[in-house]
Amino acid sequence: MMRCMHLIRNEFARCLKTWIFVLCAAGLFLTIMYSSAAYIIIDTVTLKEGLPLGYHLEAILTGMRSEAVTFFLPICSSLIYAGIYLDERGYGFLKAYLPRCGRKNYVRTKIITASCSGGLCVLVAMMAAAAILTLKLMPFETLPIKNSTTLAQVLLAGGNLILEGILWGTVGTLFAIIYADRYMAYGGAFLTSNILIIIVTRYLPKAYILNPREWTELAGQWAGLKGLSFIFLAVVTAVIMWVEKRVLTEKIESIG
Amino acid sequence: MKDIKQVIMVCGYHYSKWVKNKRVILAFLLAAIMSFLLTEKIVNFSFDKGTILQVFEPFVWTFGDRTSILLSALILLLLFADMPFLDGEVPYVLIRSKISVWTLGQILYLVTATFVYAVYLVIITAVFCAKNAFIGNRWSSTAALLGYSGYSQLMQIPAKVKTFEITRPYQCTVTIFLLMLMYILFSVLLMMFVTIKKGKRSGIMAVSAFHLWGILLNADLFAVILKLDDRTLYKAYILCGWLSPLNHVSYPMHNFGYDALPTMWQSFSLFGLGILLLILAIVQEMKNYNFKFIGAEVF
Repeated sequence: MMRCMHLIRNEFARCLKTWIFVLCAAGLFLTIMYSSAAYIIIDTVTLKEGLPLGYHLEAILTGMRSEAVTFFLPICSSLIYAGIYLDERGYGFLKAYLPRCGRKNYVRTKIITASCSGGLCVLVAMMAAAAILTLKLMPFETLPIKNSTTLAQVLLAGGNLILEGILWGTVGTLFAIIYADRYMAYGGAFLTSNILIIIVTRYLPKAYILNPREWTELAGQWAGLKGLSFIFLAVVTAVIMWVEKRVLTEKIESIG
Repeated sequence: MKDIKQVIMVCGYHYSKWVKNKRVILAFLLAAIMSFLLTEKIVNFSFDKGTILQVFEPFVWTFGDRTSILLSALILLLLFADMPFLDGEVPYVLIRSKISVWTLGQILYLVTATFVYAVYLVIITAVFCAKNAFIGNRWSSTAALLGYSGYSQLMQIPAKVKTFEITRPYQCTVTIFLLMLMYILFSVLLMMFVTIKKGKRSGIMAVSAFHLWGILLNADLFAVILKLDDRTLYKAYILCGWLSPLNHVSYPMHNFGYDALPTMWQSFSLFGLGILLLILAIVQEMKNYNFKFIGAEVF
């Protein structure tokens, strides 16, 4: 267990201390800020009059729910660490590494790191955007009118977005393992996301739970409880992680 | 006759590499996604207003616009990323035939693959919009609503009344298809020529510069930067209409009888001439190409 934790810590250090991670987080942060631009650029007259309470929450929520974030999220999540298995296999690193760390530990660390890299990228970008929007807008919220956006909505959308990041990081890695191809590693998650959007939007509107846009917009019923979207995403991510574990174990069986 | 057969065989060999090729699959899927995202606004509008579409109208309004043509051309950079297609088979082909035959085979592959890609774009756009569309050769009520109200400007859909008045959907689709095909073909052949002459990186830079030239030569951009008055703006529109390759392939930016913009035939002729010159230049340049044989690999 301790050994596994040590390996995971090393993998995270390898993953997070890279320019790719910084660029992806920065890109996602800029996308959220750009999508909230209409809430940031306010004329002085409106600022003097004051903004309604919770205005900053609406700005954060709008940024997180935008088309641009849905578009870039799969790319950012899989770009960070999805191709790492291909690199390690291609350079012959696996032959030397597997006997030292063990196959089970290797599979666990790869799955956890590749998945969480996507989620961490989203978390960093979201926290930065939320902090800046709150600091910028909250001092001007002096009107007694309350905005309809609640903190619970923002937290749910944020939680779903982080899970989405984990999901697309997992999907990208799964594509890399199955196809052993860099194009599929980095493009697989993006393709899956958009194909789901196309199929649900045009042909199966009732299957809204499969629509990546719906995971943050939460426009559907969700059986009366929007929190079910979080549970749904968690279950889907867990299933894909389990599939990835099976596939990766099979692939590395012949090495070493 | 033998040479023609060999040219077709070289072309066929390149197509055989498409089977289970992830890069090709990715390129076509990306094109489908791009087509969906670009036509979404139009289809949603027709659903919201309860009006019907002609099956090729989304293609006309989407790919009659310069930005959409540019995006579709960029995806081809992925499809032809391994240009100039020098692999381990090349020495064997060159021994058995001539360099010109092999080069013409490559060019035939580029031309036909671009054609296949353009046809695919038309079909996939029609498929995505087919749910709320009819196939008759007349403009729909959605077109009338967009053209004769302020919705087209509000939603930034280039549905122009002058288009509806002078042509019908099928004829318009064919014209836009040919314009798009010529632009994409020109950019692909330009990339091939510069790649052969100066290397892969230069080829990509050249085609990027070509696209950038087209996108930057925009009269609206000049109007904002230089704060042009109406008269000067009109002259800027005419100048950009002639100088920008993207304006040449943008359907509304043509002379329909009352301004000095290029006509369709002038645009077709310019692109046709450019494509022909590039083909001749590629064949000539390939004769002097320095093949380096290192083991089984050719660089």
